Amino acid sequence: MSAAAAVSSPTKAPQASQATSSNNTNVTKRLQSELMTLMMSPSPGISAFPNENDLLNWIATIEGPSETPYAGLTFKLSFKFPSTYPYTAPTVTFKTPIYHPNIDFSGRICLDILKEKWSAIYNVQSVLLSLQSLLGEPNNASPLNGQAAELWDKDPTEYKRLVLARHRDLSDEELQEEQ
Amino acid sequence: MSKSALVFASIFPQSTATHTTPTPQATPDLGFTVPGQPFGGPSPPSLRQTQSRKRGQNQPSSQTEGLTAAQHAVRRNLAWSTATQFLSLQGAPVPGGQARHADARRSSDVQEALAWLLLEDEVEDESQMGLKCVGLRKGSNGLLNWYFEEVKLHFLGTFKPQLDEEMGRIVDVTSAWASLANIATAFGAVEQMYMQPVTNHIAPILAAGGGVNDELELHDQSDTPASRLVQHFERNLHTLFTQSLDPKARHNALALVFRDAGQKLFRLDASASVVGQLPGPGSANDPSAVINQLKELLLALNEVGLAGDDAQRAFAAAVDRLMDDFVESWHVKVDWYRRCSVMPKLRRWVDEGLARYVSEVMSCIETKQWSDMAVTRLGRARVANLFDYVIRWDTSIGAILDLKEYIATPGARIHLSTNFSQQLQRRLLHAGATTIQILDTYIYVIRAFNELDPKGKDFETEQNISVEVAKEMLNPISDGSHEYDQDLDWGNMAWVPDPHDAGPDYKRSKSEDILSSLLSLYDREDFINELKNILGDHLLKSKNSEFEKEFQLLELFKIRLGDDKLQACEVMLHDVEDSKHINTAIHNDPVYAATTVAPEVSLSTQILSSYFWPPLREESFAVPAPVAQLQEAYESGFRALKDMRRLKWLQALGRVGVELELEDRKVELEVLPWQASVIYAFQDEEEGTDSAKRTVSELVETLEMDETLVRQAVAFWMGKLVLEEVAPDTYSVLEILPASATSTSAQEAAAAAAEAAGKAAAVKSPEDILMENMQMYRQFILGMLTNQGKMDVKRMHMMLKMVVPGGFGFGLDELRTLLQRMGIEGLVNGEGDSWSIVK
Repeated sequence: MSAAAAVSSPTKAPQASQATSSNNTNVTKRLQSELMTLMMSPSPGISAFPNENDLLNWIATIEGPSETPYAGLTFKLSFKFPSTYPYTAPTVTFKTPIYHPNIDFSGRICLDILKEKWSAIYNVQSVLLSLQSLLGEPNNASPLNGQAAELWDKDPTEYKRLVLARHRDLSDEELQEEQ
Repeated sequence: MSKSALVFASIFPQSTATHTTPTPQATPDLGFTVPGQPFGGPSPPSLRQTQSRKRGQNQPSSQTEGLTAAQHAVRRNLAWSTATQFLSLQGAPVPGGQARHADARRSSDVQEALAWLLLEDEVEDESQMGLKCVGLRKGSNGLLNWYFEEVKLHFLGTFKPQLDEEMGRIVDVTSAWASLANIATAFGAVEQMYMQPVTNHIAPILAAGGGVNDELELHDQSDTPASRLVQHFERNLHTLFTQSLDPKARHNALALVFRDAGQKLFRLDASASVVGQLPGPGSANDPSAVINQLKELLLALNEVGLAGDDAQRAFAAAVDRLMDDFVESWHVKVDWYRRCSVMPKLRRWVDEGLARYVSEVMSCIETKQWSDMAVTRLGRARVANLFDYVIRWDTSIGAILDLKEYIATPGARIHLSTNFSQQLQRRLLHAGATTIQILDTYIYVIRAFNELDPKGKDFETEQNISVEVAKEMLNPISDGSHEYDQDLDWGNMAWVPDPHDAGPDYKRSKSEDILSSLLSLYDREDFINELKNILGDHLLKSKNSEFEKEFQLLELFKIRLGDDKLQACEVMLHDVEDSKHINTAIHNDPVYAATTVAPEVSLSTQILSSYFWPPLREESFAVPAPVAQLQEAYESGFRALKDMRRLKWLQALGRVGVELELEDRKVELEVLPWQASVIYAFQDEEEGTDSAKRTVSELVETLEMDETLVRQAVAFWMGKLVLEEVAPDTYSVLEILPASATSTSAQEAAAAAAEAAGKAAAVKSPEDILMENMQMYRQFILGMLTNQGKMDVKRMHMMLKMVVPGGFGFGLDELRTLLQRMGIEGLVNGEGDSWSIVK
């Protein structure tokens, strides 16, 4: 998988909230069809589903790609869709603690397509695939986690140890809290 | 003094403490307390003097005017001494002894002293002005007060212990009767003794001297000061009597007697209930004897003041108990046989029985109050078992009619509705109750409550409660709604609600109310969808070409559910109607007529506007060639007729009349299209060869038909003894019926099964849809569980409803089945009602 993943510094993009009702129905329609596609033609290792009673908030799951330090691990992410979606990018954060050069300790992700390079042709599936490939191919040029960026090349064993040390599956209760 | 007397004294301390013994004659003393004024201290003579002067101007008797205060006091003391000595009860006999105060003993000086004290002694002060108004002079009052104190002391010392003893003897009904009678007699004697001085000596003096000139002259004899004085004294005496008895014991004894009398009177005791025989007139239970006995006792008690307020209270308690007794008795059991209310009986009892009893006991008593109470009791008793009555509706109408009278007050209504909804919760709305049970009960509830309250308004809340709860129970059971619809709407085609041409004020019929209540149970959309399905199925299967009833019903539903909602149903009905005309038109078309290759084959078509119809069966297969030809011709005819619109044939729907000519017999049947296609495939062979053989796979291939359908059809024809299995999966026509040929039971069963399958709805059932969309649902469930972690079925159901395109029209049970299936496949893991993904 070769999703270009240019990294920028993480800024919390304020979401324009000009939600009108017609907008909302559009978002809902779009998300519903995205969900349908996700469900009916699933890609291996990624999955997403809306929260209870709230189609604008999803929980996604990524399985760590094999032959990376993340192999065999599962990560939960939260997707928050603005009412202007898909013209504005969703806010995506890792919920599962993760050790990665482009992800900070509170789960914020530095990925260009979630920021300035967002386009309406992206969707949940493509974002998830990009993130999955980001796990195996971090952008070490502009890291959020300098130590990780350094270790990635220098000491893969220590890197893997730190990844495993940081990783902890969320319990069901924690997942419920996310909602 | 006995202990109780001490207690009594502790309550009235002043009276006993300040009571004076008769003053000795020899020691008149001016400076001391004025006798006869036990409650007040000595007043300054001057003040009294002025006051009496002032008063004197109004007083006709001015004898005292001339006397000085000192003279007056001396005279008073002397008179007081004489009078009190005369009236003193010290040494008076114990009960049963002779009255001491004989007339003969009233000497002239005593007479004089009494008269002076009673009539002339005008000592008053501000606080006692009021006495003037009731016609009692200060003097007479003082003397009488003293006398009453004397009586009290004497009574408590002499009679009280005996009374206590008598009261202590009351343990049961019989002793209560006896003791009360004894007490009444004893009091009678005592009263006579105590009253004698008053009636014989004091009253006559007062009557002679005072009343006539009194400024507040009253004409009524009974209201003269003298008689009033006597009455006053009597009242005090009665109070004394009453107080001397332990109130609780007295109350209990009276209540016992009253209740016993009532029970005997109305034969409420168990023994009478067994046979209900009338006791002989002489027996103790004879009503008239009982009432006489009671009246005697009451009169005696009344004489001595024991039948006053307290007795009324005791009586009230007794009647209270009696009412319970009566309601529990055999008299007002639910009338299961005549199916009528026992309320009239109860009311009659109250009006004629209880009221008479009460009025015998008390002359002025309001029966309404009693009857209300009785009605309330019975009402409550009925309410307690209301659920049982409701579910036995019709035979239990008696109980409901009883209640009808009970719920006249808002309180009763609230009691009934809260109580009943509790019963519903406990007895009906539990997991074990089936939908049908609940619906049945619901209908009964509506019927029963309709009977209770024809206006139906006041029980809206109650109904809402049931609706709410029932809704919860029903929603997950989509099967339930299915059955209900068929039962109520289409199972009985003769059912038609009352006419609707009446004005808005027209009272709706009961059945309609039930229908509307039931309609309100279901989600309107769901209901309309279900209605659409049933109507579609019904129309496709109906052999009638007239659809009057259907139109009629549709109109009724329109009124209830709204025109726009039932548009689809309307279109469906018009489709079938139009089809008839189109059929005629095309059949008359010469082009179509020309293509009729085989004259014995004819085709009539239903043209459905698929957009409005529910999802229909779409299995496709090759129809016999002549039919296919006809279909083609029909289609071109339709195209010409309907402006190039195209037809899409739904081969699986429809019916085929088949006539099979076998060597030894003819078989005529109406079958389903695929069955006809299968049997037609056996005919296709060249004439003269042996009876054709076909294998299942051949049939599947040539007919382009589903294997299950083929097998069903084959089984059907085998059951009809048209086909036989000559080798595994190979069949041939049974041209000649073997002599012994009767279908085996296995074949029959297969045929029956095939027939049943054939009857399967033309419209897709929810199960079909579930199976069709299974894959999608499974994906959604997997996605949901993967991302959201462990979830319970309820939440999953809600989420599915939200996210699945087109909605998730199934209940919790179906979802559980689906999950279980997925669990078996090892995809998900269930713990109770919670499911999670298998990692």
